[in-house]
Amino acid sequence: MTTAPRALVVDDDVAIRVLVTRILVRRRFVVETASDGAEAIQKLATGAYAVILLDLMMPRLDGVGVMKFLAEYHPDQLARVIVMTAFGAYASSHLPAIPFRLIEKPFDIHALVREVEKCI
Amino acid sequence: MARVISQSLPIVTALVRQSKDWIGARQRAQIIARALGFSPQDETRIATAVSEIARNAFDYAGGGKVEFIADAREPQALLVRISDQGPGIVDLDLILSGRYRSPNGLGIGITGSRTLMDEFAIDTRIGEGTVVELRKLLPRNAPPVTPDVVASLTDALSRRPIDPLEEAQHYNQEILRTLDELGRVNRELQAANEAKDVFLAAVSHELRTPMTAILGWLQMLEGATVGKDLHAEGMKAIASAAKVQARLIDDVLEAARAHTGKLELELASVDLQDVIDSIWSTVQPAVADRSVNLERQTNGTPLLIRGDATRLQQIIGNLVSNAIKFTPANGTISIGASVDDEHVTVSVSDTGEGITEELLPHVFERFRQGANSRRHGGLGLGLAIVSHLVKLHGGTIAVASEGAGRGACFTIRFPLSR
Repeated sequence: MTTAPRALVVDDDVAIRVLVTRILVRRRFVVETASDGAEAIQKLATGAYAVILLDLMMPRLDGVGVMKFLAEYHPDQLARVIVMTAFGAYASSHLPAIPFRLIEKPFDIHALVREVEKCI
Repeated sequence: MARVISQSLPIVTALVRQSKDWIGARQRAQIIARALGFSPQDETRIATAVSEIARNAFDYAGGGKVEFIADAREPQALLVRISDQGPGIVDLDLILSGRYRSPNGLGIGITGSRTLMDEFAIDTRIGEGTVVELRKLLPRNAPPVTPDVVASLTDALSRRPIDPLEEAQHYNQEILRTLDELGRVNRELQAANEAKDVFLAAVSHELRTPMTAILGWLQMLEGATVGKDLHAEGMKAIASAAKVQARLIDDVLEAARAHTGKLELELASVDLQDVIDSIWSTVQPAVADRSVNLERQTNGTPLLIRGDATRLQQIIGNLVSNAIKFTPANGTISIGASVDDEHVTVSVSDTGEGITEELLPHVFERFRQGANSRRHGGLGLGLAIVSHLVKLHGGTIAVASEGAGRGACFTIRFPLSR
């Protein structure tokens, strides 16, 4: 028996968290959520995820901060990150040295699923 | 029989016969404009317009005269008539239409001068000469122009020698001052433009977030195998995201109305204690959700002002919601109110993120947001709208913060209603 893959959904907007969670649960993921970067880092420090869906603009610590944390402490997890943002240009200009997958909001949920499948 | 006072009061006439005379005309224009109560900017505008046209008279007609006349009719004005007996201006229509391409600079002075004055009339006859009349209305608060005022001005001008060198130096200083001023205005425009770009990006971001939820859920619900619970959850999420979007759009429209002066109040006698009561109960869910403490420091004294109850609720409600948004768990938000002989004062303070020294002077400007508040979402319009509404009520708003991480306190004061 294989265990279900784990996903982390990080977004300060509850509507997006719930939407993405539902999409992933239907694809048999076990989903955890975080409502800002600081909460995400607590989870990332202790667990590994098959996929990390990460919003950029968040209070306390933003998505850029989370990416920098991963680059420093868990570089292997970077390939699992899909940045979800309404600010594609912002993402490109603030994260020049870190390769990442990006999906722009609003997104097609099939496109999101395709990106997720590339991670596993 | 009442004495008829002539309404056109000649101040002085200056002849332009040598090149230094148009500089003299400029100097006189400046002295007269100052004496009649024009602002320093208008002094420069008038002096520039007069010297341009006087220089044209010298350059193209070999000379002419400049008459300065006070027009004492309401609205009071300064009239300057510059006439010459030169060859006339062949391309006048083309020059006035703005389509004239000058091979030698001729004509540029005319269009420039026209924009500097309130009225500009020109009459040119080929082979006979040209008369230009420039008129500038006096500022509304300028003292009345009486024959005595004009007589003493004429007298002062006759006793003051015209010194072209002094005027040229003065002119240079003016140009330097104008350049400084232009530099400052340019920097302000640039800053405003950048703030607008950030605002547009923020609007796009803020509208896309609920749109993502709406479109995503619609796509989910289109699937054939959606259970009843998921369907209900989706519909709820769509409705709530649509409400968020509607509120954002309302904010943008409201800010535009405030900016164009189209916000109106429905005035009545309002007790701000009632307004605070209503906000108190409205924000309880948010207070509980964020685990912050909300305190009220008001005794029961009525806080009567004349205002629009809905707008007052919007003003104080916005300040309280902001405080909740920027205060971390276990922080405290305090609503205070007091009344003295003249004013009702309401304050909203918090122990939250505070405001940096750089942002503090700009918090009530449209589109301004700190880097931190951008991460909290929103458009940076709330405080601009609040400040506008406070002013519409004849009140004042002030903010104090000791810096990032050290909380903020907003204080609004309204005139007490008796």
